[in-house]
Amino acid sequence: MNLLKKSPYYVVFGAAVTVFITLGINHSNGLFLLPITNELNSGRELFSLAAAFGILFSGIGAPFFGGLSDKYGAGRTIFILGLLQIISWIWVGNINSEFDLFGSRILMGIGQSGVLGIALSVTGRSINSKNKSVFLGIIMASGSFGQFVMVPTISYFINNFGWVYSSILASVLISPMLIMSILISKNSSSQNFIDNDQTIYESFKNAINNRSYKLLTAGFFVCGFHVTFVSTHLPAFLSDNNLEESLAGFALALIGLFNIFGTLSFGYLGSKISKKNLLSTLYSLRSLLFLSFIIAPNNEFTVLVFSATLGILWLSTVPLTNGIITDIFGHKNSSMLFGFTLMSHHAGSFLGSWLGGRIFDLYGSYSPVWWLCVILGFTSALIHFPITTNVKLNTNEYAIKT
Amino acid sequence: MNYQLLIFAGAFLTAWIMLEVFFKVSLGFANESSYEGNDNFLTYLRLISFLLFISTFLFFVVNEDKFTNIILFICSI
Repeated sequence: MNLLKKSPYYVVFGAAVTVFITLGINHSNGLFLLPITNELNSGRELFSLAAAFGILFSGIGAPFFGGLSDKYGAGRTIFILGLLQIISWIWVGNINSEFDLFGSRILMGIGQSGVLGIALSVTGRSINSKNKSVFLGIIMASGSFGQFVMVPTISYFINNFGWVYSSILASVLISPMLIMSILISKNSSSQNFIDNDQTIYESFKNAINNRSYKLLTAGFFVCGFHVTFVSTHLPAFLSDNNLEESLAGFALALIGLFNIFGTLSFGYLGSKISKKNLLSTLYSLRSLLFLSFIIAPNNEFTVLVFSATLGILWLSTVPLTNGIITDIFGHKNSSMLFGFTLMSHHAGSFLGSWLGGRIFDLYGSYSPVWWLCVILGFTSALIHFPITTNVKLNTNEYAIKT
Repeated sequence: MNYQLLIFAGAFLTAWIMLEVFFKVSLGFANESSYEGNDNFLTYLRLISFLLFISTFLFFVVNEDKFTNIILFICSI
């Protein structure tokens, strides 16, 4: 007897829990830095390099798993990704060499790749277009909330049970993803909407020939650059400016908190007004914020107001960007197409993290990078402006008007 | 510690006001105006923000040092 009636809200719940777990666990990786480097008797650079490879493979895997999801279903793909994450965390608990460190981090990156894109796309497919943007905001907010819950939980585990058992417990925390994948699989449907009958290759070909998609992908690079530069280098920047170390904790907490409110607000606004105009506004506001941060004196209050305001604009780009992709190309291959856009975001992340450190080493100051953030933000705002979501596809004359 | 918590609360309130102003100004550009829906959304958002603010505030009061260390570890990579 089927006790649960099929409902798109189960898909939203499943996708939200999946993103909650994946992003939450992902942000607890840093807690293993010291114990693992002590175990291997290596410098921090090795762990950082392994983490960077993990991010890189996460970006590379995103379009691949997105394509798998589009072809074989989101539920099955999330099940595979969940299993990969579980195996990678068990591997972390058995690290004995550099090979184990790199192997587990790369496998973890692959396991995390595409989860966000698939969760957003399957939600977009299941919810009617009027409220879609709001629900995409909820999915992103759940990821941010996951950081709040998972990071202290993993920290508690490490302090009480040691890092080896904690990594095994982390794999147990991931296991609800497998149940969620079944929930998504049973309830998701792509039949609710009029969609196109393109193959993955046709869809990809169509996308790379589409000016709006290229602009959107280029603009998303800037988001990755901003976010990773700030999250990686803000504590060091505050320390350089003789501000208390504990301020970084307050600053990042405010970014996380306002990220929840920001993604929900922008998700809601995306259902009411043009998404690409919102993205242009968002990137312009980021640049103005960076500019004010450069000009204003750095004290505790300005740093915290900067952090909270940046939190509003932090990952609010994601539901809007994903929404534009489905507006242009429909839902059928949206996971794969968003995966490619996410790859650009990850390239920006990689560069933001690396360039921040490189420029600091060269000039002894983060100022050139802050200015670069301003320029990139305004450039991205301009890039988003010509995007049009009223597109007619070549293959089957399928058009969506937004 | 108390001074920083006060600044934390002040920054939270300042940013919240900016968010609400931005939200309301943006909705002025919307084609359809569902005032009731917008007000309901804002009420839920205020409620969530209040709960999360209180929980974070208490977390800092109880466990400030530990939490800061965790954040610094995360940022070190």
